[in-house]
Amino acid sequence: MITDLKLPAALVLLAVLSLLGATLFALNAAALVPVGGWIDAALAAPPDATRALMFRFSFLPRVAMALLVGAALALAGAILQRALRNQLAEPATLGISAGAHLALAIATVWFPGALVLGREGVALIGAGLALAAVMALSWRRALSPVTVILSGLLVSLYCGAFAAIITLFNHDLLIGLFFWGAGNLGQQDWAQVNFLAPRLLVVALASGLIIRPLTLLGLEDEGARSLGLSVAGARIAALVIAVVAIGFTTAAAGVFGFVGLAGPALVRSLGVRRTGLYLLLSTLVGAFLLLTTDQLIQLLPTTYRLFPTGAATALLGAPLLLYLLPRLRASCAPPTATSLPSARRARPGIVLAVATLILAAIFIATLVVGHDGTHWAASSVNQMQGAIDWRLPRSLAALCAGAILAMAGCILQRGTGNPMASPEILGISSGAMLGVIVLMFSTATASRSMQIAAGGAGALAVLLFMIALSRRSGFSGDRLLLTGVALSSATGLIMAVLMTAQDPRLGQLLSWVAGSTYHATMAEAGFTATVCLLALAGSPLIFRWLDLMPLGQVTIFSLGVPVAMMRYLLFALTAILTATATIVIGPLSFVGLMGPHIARMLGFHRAREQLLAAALCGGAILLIADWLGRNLIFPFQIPAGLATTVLGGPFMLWLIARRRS
Amino acid sequence: MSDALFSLSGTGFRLGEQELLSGINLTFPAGRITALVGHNGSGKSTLLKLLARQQLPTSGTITFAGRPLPEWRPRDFARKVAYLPQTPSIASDTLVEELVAFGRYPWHGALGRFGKADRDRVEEAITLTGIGALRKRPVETLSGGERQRVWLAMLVAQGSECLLLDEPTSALDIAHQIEVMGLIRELCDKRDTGVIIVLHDINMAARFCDRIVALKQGGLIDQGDAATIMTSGRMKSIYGVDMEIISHPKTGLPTALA
Amino acid sequence: MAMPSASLVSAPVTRRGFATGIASLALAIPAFASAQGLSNRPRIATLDWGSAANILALGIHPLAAPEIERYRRLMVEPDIPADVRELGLRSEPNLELIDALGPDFIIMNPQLAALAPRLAPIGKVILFEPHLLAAGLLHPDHLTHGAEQLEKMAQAIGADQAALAYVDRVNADIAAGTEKLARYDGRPLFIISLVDANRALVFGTNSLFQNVLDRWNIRNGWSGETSIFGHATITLDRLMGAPDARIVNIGAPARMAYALKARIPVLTSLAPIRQGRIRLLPDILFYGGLPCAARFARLAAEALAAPDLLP
Repeated sequence: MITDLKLPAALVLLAVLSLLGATLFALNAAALVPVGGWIDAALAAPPDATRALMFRFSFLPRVAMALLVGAALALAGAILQRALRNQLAEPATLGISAGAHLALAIATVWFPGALVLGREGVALIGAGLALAAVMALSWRRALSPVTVILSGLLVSLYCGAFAAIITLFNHDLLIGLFFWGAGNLGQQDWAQVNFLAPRLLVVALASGLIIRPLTLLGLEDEGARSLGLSVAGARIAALVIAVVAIGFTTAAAGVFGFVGLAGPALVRSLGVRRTGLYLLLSTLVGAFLLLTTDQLIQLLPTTYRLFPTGAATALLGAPLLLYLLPRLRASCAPPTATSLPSARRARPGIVLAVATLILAAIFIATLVVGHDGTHWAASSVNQMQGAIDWRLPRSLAALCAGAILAMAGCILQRGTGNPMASPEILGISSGAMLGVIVLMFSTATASRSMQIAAGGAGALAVLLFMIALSRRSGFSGDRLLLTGVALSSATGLIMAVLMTAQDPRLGQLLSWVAGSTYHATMAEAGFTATVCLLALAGSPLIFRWLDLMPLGQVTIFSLGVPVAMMRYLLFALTAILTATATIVIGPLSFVGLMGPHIARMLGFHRAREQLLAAALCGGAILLIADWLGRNLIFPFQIPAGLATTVLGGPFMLWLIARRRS
Repeated sequence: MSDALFSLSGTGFRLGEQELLSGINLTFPAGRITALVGHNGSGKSTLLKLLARQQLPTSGTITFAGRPLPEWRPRDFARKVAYLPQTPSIASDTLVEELVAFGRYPWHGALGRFGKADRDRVEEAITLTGIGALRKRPVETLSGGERQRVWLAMLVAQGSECLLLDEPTSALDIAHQIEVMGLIRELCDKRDTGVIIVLHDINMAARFCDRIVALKQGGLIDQGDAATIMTSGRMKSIYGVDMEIISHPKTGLPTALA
Repeated sequence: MAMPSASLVSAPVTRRGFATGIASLALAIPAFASAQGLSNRPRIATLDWGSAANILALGIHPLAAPEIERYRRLMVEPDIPADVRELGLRSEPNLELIDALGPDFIIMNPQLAALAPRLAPIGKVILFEPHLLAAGLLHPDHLTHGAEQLEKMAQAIGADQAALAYVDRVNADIAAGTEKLARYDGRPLFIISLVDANRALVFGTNSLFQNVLDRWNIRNGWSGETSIFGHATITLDRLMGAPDARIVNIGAPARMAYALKARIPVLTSLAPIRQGRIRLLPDILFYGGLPCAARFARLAAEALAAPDLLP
C-alpha cells in the first residue's frame, strides 16, 4: 500500500488540539489548586477541603471522562462510517443513544426508583432494546448499509419523538435529564471512569482486530465478497463493536452528538485513508476535541460554565469542519444504494390520481370530525364555521408543509445520492430556530408576524450562506450535508443551554421545535399552499435532472447537463421549500426523510412518480398526524411533528419488514 | 470521412505540482478506432478526460470539428461526443431501458418531449448491443459484462459521432472483452462512429483498432497504424520491457509476448 | 399576517353554535354545571399558571386552566377546584375549547401574545405578567410589581376589592414571618434547587424569593449573576463562597434527601451541610407573583424557625 502522504497534516491537527487541551487543563487546574498541590490533592484530600475534593473527585475524573468519551465515540463513528459506507453515519445513527435517552426519560418521570438502582443500567437496557430493533429490522437484508441506516434512523427518530413528547409534558421534572441528554461530563467521583475505562479497553482491542475486514467493507459488497470476506459477518462485528462503545459511553455520560461525526470527518478531510491509521487518528482527535472543548467551557465565566460539553463540542468542531470540508476528497467509499430495492408499480399515474382523491376525502374528514374530551363527533352544518376557523388553517398547513418537506427530501436524496439526506440537516431549520430564539429572548411580547419575520430572517441568513458555499466548485453533495449538520449542532447547543437553564419560556420553544401547526393562521396556511402548488407546477422542470442523478456527475456532465447550474438550482429550490415549511410549522424531521423512502418502497421510482408520491405521502402523514395530535388526548395536543414520527414510524417499519430479501 | 475529430496543440494538464500531461500535439481522425496505450500513470485517462471536457487543459488548446472545446455548448457537444468513464456509477434504482433512454438527453434536454425518434434510437441501441433480454432488470443486479454492454447501449443511443471509452473491458473476462470490442468495431464500421479508447491490452488494441497512440510520462511517445507500431523496438520504448512480436498462428495479426 | 380573518369577526353567532356543540357535552359533567350557577362571577379562562393562581387568589373560579394536574403538583396553592376545565399544555392551550367555553375574559402571560388576535373575537384578552421582567435591574421589586399588576388586572374584570384585600393579606403573611424569625441567627441564605449530584439552580438577588428575604432582613448567600427570572444553574462547589451560610432547598425533597444520604463528597464537604444547616421545602414556583411569594414566605418562615438538625 502507498504510504499516506497526508499523515503530517493530521499530526499537526492532533498536536494543536492536544497542546490546546493541555494548556487549558493547566489553567483550569491551577485555578482550583495551586500547581504545587496537584499531586497531594489528587492522592488525598481532607473531607472539608472543598477545592481539593473538587480537584480529586470532580476535575480529574472529568478530564479522564472527556478523553474516554471522545475517543470511544470518534472510534465508533469512524467504524460506522466505514462499515456503513456513509459519511453522515455517527453514534446517533443506530438509534442507540436515542434508545438510552428514552429509557431514562421514562424512568425519570414514572419510575424514579429505577434510577436509584443505577442510571447506567437503565440506559443500557434502552440502548440494547434499540439495537435489537435495528438488528431485527435489517437482519433479513444481511445488514446491508442502507437497511441498517434506515432502520437506525427510524428507531432513533421514533425513540426521539417519544422522549420529546415526555419532555414536552414534563419539562419541569426533567432538568437532570437535560444535562444528560446534552452530554454532561460532570463527575462526583471516579465511579464512571472505573466503569468505562476497562470496557472501552476491550472495545479498542477488538476494533484492532477488524481493521482488515473494515478496509474491505469500504468496497462494494460484491467486491468485498469476491475477496473472500463474509460481508454480513464482518459488518455485524463492526456494528457490535461500535454499538458496545456507544452504549457504555452513553450510559455513563449521556448523549454526545457531534464528536463521533466530526472526529472521523476531520481526519478524512486531511486525506488519511488507510483504515488502521484512520481509526487511530479519529480516536485521538475525538479524545482531544472533547477534552479541549470541555476545558474551554470550564474556563468560561461562571455563568456560562454549565454549558453541556456534548452540545458545545460543536463550538470547536463546527468551525474546524467548515474550514476543512472543502479539502475533503471525494468519498473513499463508493456510493451506496440510495434506497431499498422494491418492485416497480404498474400504472403509477392512476394510482397517484386515486391517492389524491382519497387524500382530499381525508382532508375534509379532518375538518369535520373531532374529539371533545368525551366523544368523537362530526360537526353539524351550523358548527362548520367554527370548524373552519380553528381547524382549516391547521389541516391545510399540515397537508401542504408535509408535501413540501417530502418534495424537498426527495430532491435532496436523489441529488446527493445519500439516503440519510433530509431537509432539516440543511441547516435552514437551524437558522429559523435561531431567529425565533433570539426574538423570544429579546422581547416579552412577540406577535405572530414578528415570529415569522424572525424565523424567516434566520432561515434566509443560513440559506445565503449555504448557497454561497454551494457555488464554490466542488462543494456539493455530502459536503453540503455535513456543513448543514455542523450548523445544526450549533443550534443544538443553544437549545441545550436553554433546557439546562430551566427557563420558563422553554415550553413555547419545545412546542415549536417539535413541529406544531398550533399557531398557523389562514394567511400562513394559504401561503404554504401557494408554495406547494407552485412547487408541484414547476416540478416537471427538474424531473429529467433528478432521473439522471444515479448516473453520477461525470456521466451527467457528458450528456450535456450544465451540472454546476443544476446543483445550484436544485439546492436553492430545496432550501426555499424547507424554509417555507419550517417557518410556518417548525423544523420537522420525519416527513422530509421518510416521505421519499416510503414513496420508493411503494414502488414509485422514476423521479416524476417518486416526487408526486412523496408529496402525497408526506402531506397525508402530516395531515393525519396533526389531526390525531389535536384529538387523541383532547384538550392536550401532541405537536404534529412528533405525532408524525409516532404514526409514520410503524408504517415505515412495516414497509421495511414486509419486503422479502 | 477523414476529417479530424479532435486536434490538440501544445496541450498540457497539471494538478498542483504534478505535470500529468504536457505538450501534446495530436490529431484524431473521424470514423476510425484509435487506441490510447501506455503504462499506468502515463496520462491516458487524463487525456481522455480533457477530450470529454471533464477537465480543462492548463495549457494549449483542443478543438473538436475545428472549434475550440470551450466554445461548444454542453448539449451540442454531447450530441457529437459521448464519454464512458472507467468506473461508471452503479446507477442504483435504474432499469436497463431507463439507463439507455437517458442517452437521449442531449437531444430532448430537460424539458423537451421524449418523442418517437428518441424511442426508435433507444430500441435500435438495445437491439444493436443485444441487451433486449435485460431491459426490465435493475442495472445494479447485472454482471460486469452485462453492465458494460448496457452502458455502451446508452452511448449508442446518444447517437454521437465520437465515443470516448476509458478501459471499457478492464473488468471483463476474455470472452466478454472480445465481445465488447467486436461491438465497438461494428459500431465504427456500420455507423462510421469515431472511437477513442483507452486500452491496457496492446494485443486487443492491435486486433480491433485502426490506430494506436502511445503515451509515456504525460508525453506523446509514439503513434501509428496498428500494424506498423507492433515491433519489439517500439514496444520496448512504450512499455519499457522487452517484448517479442510474433504473427498470430490463426489470424496472422502481430501479437506481443512479454 | 392578515389575521383576524373576516370570518372571525363577522360570524359570532355561528361560532357560538359550534361552541355550544362542545359546551353542551361539557355540561354533562355535574361539577361544571355548578360553576355555571355562579352567574354573577365573571367567566374567565386562564391560559397559564401565573394567571390561574392570581385569579384563584382573588377567590374567583376560572372556567379553565392549563396542565391542572401538574399545577397541583408543582404550584399546589391556591388550590385549583375540581370544576375547572383542563386546557391542555401551557405552551399550546386548546383554542377550540376556549372558543367552546366562551369566556368573557381570557387572561394570559405575554409569552402567548401571538394568540391575542385570534382570541379577541371570543372574549376580552388581558395580558398579565406579575413577574418584573427587567433585564439588568439589580434589585427588582417583584412584590410591588406583582401587586400592581394584580390590581390592574382585577380592575379590568371588576374585582378591585378582592385584589386589595388579597395584597393586604399577603403583606400580612410576610410580616408574620418577620415575627416568627425574630430570633433568626442572621446567617446568609442560599436558596437552591438540587438538580443532580453536582448541580443546582440557585436564586439570586433579583429573584422573587429575594424580595421576601428583604422584608425579613436576611442576606442572600449568592451574589453572582442570574437570569431575568432570578435563577442560575451552578455546580455545587460554587456554594463554597459562604461557609457560614444556611441552605434552603426547594422542590424534589426526596432527591436532596437521597443525595445527603449517599454522602456525595463535594456536596458533603460544604460547611453548611456538614453542620446541618439545610432545610428542605416542597415545590414553589419562582415566578408567578404574589401567590408564589406568599407560599414561599409561609413555608420558609416555618422551616427557618426550626432548629438545625444535628449532622
